[in-house]
Amino acid sequence: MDITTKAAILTGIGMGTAFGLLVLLMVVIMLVGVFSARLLGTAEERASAQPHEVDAEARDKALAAAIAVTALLASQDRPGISGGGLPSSAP
Amino acid sequence: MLEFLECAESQSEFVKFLCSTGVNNIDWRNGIMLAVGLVFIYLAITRDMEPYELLPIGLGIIVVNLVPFTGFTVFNAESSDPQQSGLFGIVFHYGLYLWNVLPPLVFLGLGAMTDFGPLIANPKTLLLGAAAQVGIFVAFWGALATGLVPWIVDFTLPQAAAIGIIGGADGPTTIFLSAHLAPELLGITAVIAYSYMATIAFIQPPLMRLLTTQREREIEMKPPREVSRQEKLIFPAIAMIVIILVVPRSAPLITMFMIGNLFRESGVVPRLTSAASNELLNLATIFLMITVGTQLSGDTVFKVDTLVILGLGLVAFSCGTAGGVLFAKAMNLVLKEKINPLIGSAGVSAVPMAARISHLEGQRANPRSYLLSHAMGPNVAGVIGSAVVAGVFISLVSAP
Repeated sequence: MDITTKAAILTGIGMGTAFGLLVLLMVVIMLVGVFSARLLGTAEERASAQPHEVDAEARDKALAAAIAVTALLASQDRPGISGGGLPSSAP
Repeated sequence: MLEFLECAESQSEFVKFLCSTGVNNIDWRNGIMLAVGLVFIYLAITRDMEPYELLPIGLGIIVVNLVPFTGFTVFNAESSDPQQSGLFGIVFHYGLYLWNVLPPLVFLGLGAMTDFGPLIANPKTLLLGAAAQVGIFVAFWGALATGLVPWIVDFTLPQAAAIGIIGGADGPTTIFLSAHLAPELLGITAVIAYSYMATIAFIQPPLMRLLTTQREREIEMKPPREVSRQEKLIFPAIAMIVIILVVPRSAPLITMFMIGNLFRESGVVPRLTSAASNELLNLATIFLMITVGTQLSGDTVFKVDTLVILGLGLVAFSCGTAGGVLFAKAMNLVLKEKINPLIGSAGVSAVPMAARISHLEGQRANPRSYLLSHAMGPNVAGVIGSAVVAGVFISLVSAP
């Protein structure tokens, strides 16, 4: 095969492959976008369908935090209970 | 050689020492290359033109031309005696010629710094990256056409491929392909590619204005859509698999590029992302660029081939720019939502300079136009496109 023919084949395959692959990637991106939008859309629907569960969980967490802080403050007000000999301003 | 002294074994030790000095062994070609090296350093430091490439390349040129016989760039594979090879001889031999690992390492770092968001937001711009690769084949055919005047220069098919890839405007890809197919041209092709990338701000705008109308340049594009994290995670993984299945020889570059990007987009390996885009990239760049510079000694550069490659490189860049712009104009014939054809020129992979130039030209025509994020799409697509073409060249062209 002479060099011109080989170069022509190389050019055809090279440009064709570059275009073909990038067109394929374009299709991949579009499909990923659709798939991702559906997945995100489903996740959002689930979240909005269960507002009470989410609220209840958040409320419980807030309550637990409040109880913990109250207990800590209460124990600091009564020096005999804290023990350990550590000063209250220990780093 | 200047050869102030007549050197022979019978001379005294002092004369032999003087004979071994650089002053006695340098010649006019080394002198010119020293000036070229200094110009590169000047452009990098005072004009801030591709400093990460031109500064180490310029220093490499100075190293190899200042004193021709340091042994710094020698590699002696046959000898088992110690001290027979120089640092940059070893780096060139193992980092480029034999194993060709430095360009893929650079691509790992580049992938970790790349955001595929603009590309994913507007996937049509992938086609502009493909169209801009036409510059590679114009230079490829130009190099083969030199066979019509073989008494001046006659490039082989592998050499023509190594010259053509300059049109991809991607330094690591140029180095990778040249090391594979035409290592004797590696220094020339790499330096020419980086030189044109540094001067792209002078090469592209006149062409862009010539090929577009004022009205086309004023086209405003809507801000790109928001791209989800899932899309940014899925795309590099699927792109890597698809490209490697079709063009396995592009795997070293594409794999490392996509792995670096996955590190970044996963968000769970910040230290790996940081190492890839900082320490690793910087180390690879230091050794790669200085080694490229050391390939440009006076006795290798001063040939007609070099001038011809210089001209072909300019043709490649210009045709790549024109290809992207013209394809964007052709797309506008069928698209409802027009794209500004200026972003087509960003399909040459000089990231992010080419995208910035598209944006600046767009702002010049229409101050309300913001093209940077749109131009990054074809810019990144061009990196993928040139790596794919390099893989095709390696698959189909074998070194003589």
